[in-house]
Amino acid sequence: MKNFIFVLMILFLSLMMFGKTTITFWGYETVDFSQKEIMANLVDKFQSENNDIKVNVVYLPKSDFEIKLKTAAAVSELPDVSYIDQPLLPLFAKDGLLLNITEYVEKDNLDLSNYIKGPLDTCIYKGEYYGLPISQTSVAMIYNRDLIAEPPKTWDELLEISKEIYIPGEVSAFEYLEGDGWGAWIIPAFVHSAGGEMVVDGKAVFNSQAGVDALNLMKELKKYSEKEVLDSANAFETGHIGMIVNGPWMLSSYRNNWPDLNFGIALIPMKEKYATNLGGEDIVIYSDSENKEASWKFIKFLTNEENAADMAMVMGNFPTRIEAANDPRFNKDPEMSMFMEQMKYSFARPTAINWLKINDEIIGKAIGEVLSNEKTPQEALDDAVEAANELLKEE
Amino acid sequence: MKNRKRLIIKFIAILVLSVLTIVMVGPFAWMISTSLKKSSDVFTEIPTLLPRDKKTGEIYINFKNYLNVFKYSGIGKAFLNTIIVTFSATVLNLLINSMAAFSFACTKWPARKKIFALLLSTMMVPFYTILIPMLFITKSLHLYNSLLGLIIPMGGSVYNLFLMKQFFGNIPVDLFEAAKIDGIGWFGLYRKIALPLSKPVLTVVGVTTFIWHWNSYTWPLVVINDPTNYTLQLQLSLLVSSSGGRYSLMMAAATVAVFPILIVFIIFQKYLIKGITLTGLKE
Amino acid sequence: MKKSKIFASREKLAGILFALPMLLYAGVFLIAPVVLSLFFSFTKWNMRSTPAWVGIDNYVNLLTDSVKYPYFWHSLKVTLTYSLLAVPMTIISGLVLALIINSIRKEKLEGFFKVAFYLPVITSSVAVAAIWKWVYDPMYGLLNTFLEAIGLKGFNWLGDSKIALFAVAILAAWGCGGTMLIYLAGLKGIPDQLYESAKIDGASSFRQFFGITLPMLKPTTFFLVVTTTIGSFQVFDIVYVLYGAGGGSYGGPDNSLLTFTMYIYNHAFRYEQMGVACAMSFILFIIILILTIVQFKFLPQRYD
Repeated sequence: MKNFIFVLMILFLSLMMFGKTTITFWGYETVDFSQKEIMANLVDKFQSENNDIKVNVVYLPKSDFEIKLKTAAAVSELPDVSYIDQPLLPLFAKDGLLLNITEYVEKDNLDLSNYIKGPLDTCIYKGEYYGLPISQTSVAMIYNRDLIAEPPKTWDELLEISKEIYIPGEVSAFEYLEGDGWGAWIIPAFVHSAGGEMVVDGKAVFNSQAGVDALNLMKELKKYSEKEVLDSANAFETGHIGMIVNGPWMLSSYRNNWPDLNFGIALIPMKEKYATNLGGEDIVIYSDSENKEASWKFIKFLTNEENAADMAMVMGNFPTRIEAANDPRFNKDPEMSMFMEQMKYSFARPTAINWLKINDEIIGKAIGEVLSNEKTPQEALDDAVEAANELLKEE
Repeated sequence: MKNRKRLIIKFIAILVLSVLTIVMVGPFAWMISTSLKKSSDVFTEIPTLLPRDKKTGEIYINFKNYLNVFKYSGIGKAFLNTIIVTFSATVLNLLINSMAAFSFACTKWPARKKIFALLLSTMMVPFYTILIPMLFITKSLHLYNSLLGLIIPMGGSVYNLFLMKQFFGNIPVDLFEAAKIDGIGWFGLYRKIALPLSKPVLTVVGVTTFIWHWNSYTWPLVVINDPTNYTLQLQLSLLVSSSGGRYSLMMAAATVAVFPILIVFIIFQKYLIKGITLTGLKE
Repeated sequence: MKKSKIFASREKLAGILFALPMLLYAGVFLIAPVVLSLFFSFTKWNMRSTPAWVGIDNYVNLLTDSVKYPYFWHSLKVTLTYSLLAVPMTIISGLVLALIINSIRKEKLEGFFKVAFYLPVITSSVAVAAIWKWVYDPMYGLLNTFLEAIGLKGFNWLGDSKIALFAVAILAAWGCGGTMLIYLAGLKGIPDQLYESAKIDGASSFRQFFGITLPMLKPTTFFLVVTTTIGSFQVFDIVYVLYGAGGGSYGGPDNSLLTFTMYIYNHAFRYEQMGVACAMSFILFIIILILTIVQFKFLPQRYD
C-alpha cells in the first residue's frame, strides 16, 4: 500500500515537472552549516539558469565516501555525478566507469589553461580527460607559537630549533613520521625536498640519496621527540609538541576546541627545495548516466570562473582555478594563505594500481625499520624499492 | 566475631561494586557531561565530569548542542525509519530464529546436525567478505535502496539461533513428554512450553538484536542511496562530519541516539528474571 | 503406542517446517554470499571489472609470497595472540559480573547493576575511545599515575607495539556486557530446588558453585566459548575505535594491531584486491572451522 502511494506520488511529481531532467550528485557532507548554504545557493543558481534541470544533492560522510562509491560501483548504482578522490580517478577510468569528457571539452571550447596544472593533471587517464578538478589541498607545517618564535626554513634550522625546544618528558620537538600509512603518505614531501623522486617511468627510485636523507632526518628528529609525549592525547594542542605536518582540515577543530592554542602555519622546511603532497578531489560523470549533457553542464558550472572559489569554500579546500586562487577568502586569511603558498610546491601522488599497498606495506615498513634501528636507511630503502618494483609490474 | 567478619565482607563487596560501577559507567557519564559542555571546555588534562568554564571556573549547563542536533535536517525522518527497521527486524529475528532453534533443539529430522553445522560455518566468514555478494542479492531481489533492504537481509542470525538452541536444549525432556501425553501438538510445544520457559534468553536475544539494529551502520550505508531512507546512525554520521571536530556536538548526537536503546534496555532487563520454577526435574 | 508413532512421523515434518523460514533466509542471505565469495577467491577482481579466473594463485601467493603479502603471517599471529588473551578474559569477566548481579537480593539494586554493567556496550564508541585513551595515556593516564604512585614505571600502553595488543584485549574484556547478559540468562535458568536440596545436604557455597552453578552453565559456557572465539578471530571494531584509519590504513603502532580482518578489509576496499581478500577469508574460515570442530569434540556441551 505504502509503495503504491509512493508510486502515485512519483507519477504526480514527474507530471508536475514534465520535461525536467533530474541529475543525482553525491558529495561530502560539509564540515560547517555555512558551507552547506553556499552549496544550496550554487544549486539554486544552476537550476534557475537551467530551467529544465533539477539537481538532487546527496550528502555522504567524507570518511565513508570511498567505500560507498566502491560498493555502489560493484552493483552499478552510481549517481550521475560525484566527487572522486584524485588517485581513484585513473582506476575508475580504467574500468570504464567514468565518462570521457574530452569531446565535451572540445565541443564547448572550454579553456583548460585556466585550471591549475597540478590538479588538472589528476583528471587525465591515457591522455584523455575524465573529470574536472574541483578542489585541492596539501599538508604544511603547523607549529606552536608559544614554543617557536620563528619557524625553521631549512632542515638544518629544523634540527637546531628541535634541539632548543626539546625538554625530556615535557616537550617533544617534532611529530616525526612513523612506520604506518600516514607516515608513508607524508614522506614523499621530504624526499622531493631533498631533490629525489618516488617513481620515475613506472619504476620506484626512492632509494636515492634523497630518500636516505629524508629517513636520516626523521632519525635525527626522533632524538628530540619522545614517543611517550607524542602519543599523549592532544599533545600538540596542549603545547607538548613544537611542530607537526598536517593539513588545513585540522584548523576547524583547533578553532572550535582549543581557542587558546597559539598556532602558526609555515612551509615544510626544505633541503634543496620546498615540497609537499598534492591532495584533493575531481568531479566526474559516470558513464552509466542517462543525463550526460545535463551532468556536463553541472560540472562545468561548478568549476567555472564565477563559482570555483565558492566550491573550494564548500569543500573546505583550495580552488583549482588560477583566478579563483586570488579570492580574498583564501588570499587574506593568514593561515589559509600559507597553505596556498605551500601548494605551489606540490607533487601529485604516483597513480600505479598498487600504490596504496606500496605506501602502507612497503614504504611504511621501511620507515619503521629505520626508526627502530633494524636496518640502515639505505638497506631499508633498497629492500623497499625492490619490493615496490615487484608490485609496480602488475597491471 | 562472626558479625564482624560479615561486616568486613559486606564492606569489601560494596567497595568492589562501587569501583566496578565507576569503571563501567565512566565513559557513559563523560559522554553525557561532554554533551552539556561548550566545545572550548571539553578538553582538559584530566577529564572532568561537570561542565566547568576553563577561564572563570564556573559550573554551567548548556543545551545548545542538543538544539543543534534537533535542528539538523532529516533527523525526525531518520528516527522514524530507524524505529520501523529496528522493530521489524527484531520481531522477524525473534520469530524465525526461535522457530528454527526449537526445531534444531527439540525435534529430530534427517541431516539436521549437518545443516546446523553448515549454518554455524557461515559465522566464520568475515562480514566484509560477503558484503558485496549480499549487495548483489539484495539488489536482484529489488530490495536495494529501501527500508525492506535493511530488514529482510538482516532478518535472521545464526548467533541468535545457536544461543536459543542451547537454551531450548536445556528444557527437560520430561516436560515435553508430559505435554505430548496431554495431546498438545508441535506448535503447542513451541508456544506453550519452549517459549515461556525461555523468557530470559528471549529477552537477551530481543534486547541485543534491537540494539544491534539500532546501531547498525555499514549495511545501511551501502544499501541506502536516498536520503529519505536514511537511518539515525547514517544521519548522525553526517552530523559528526559537519561538527567541525566539536566533541560536545558529537556527544550530544551520540546521547540522542543512545537514549531510546537505554530505555528499551531498562524496561526489558526486568524480564531477565527467573523463568518458571521447574518441577519434576531429573537429576 | 499408536499415538506416539504418529507423533514421531509428524516430528520430521514439524521439525523441517519450523526450521524452514530460517533455512530459506540463510540459503539466500548467508550461504549464497559465502559461495559467491568462495568463487571470487579464485579470481582477480577489484569489484568493478569482470572477475578473471586465476585458479589457486591467490591462496598460493598469500601463503608463500612475502613480498606481495608481507603482513599475512604477521596479521595471523596478531589475531591468534589477541584471541588467546581476549577470549578467556571476556568470558571470565562476563561470568564474574553475572554472578555479582545474580547474588544481589534487592530487585531495584539488581536492575541498577544490570544497566550499569551493560552501559559499555551501548556507549558511543567515540566516548569509549576518548576515555580509554585517557586511562592509557602515557603522560596523564590514570593507569600510569596509579603505577607511579605505588613506585612502578608506567607504559605507553597503546603506543608501544609490544603491549598494545594486551591493552586492547583488556578493553575487550571491559565491554563484556553481552557475555554477561547471556550468563545471566543462564543463571536465571538454574532451578532453585537444586540449591535448596544442596543446602539441606549442608554444601558450602563454594561447593554449590562448583557442584551446581558451573555444571548447569555448561551449555551457556560452550556457546560463549565457541562464538567468542569466532568473533575474536574476526576482531576489527575495537582496534578501529582506538586507532582509526591512520592515513587510510589500519594497524596501530608498527602494525602491531593489524588483525587478520583488518588485513582483509585493507585488501578488499583499500587495495582493491577483492579476490585476494576472499581467499584470505577462506583461509581464516578453515582455521576457525578446525578450532570449532575441536571445541565441539572436546568441550562439554550439556550439563548431564
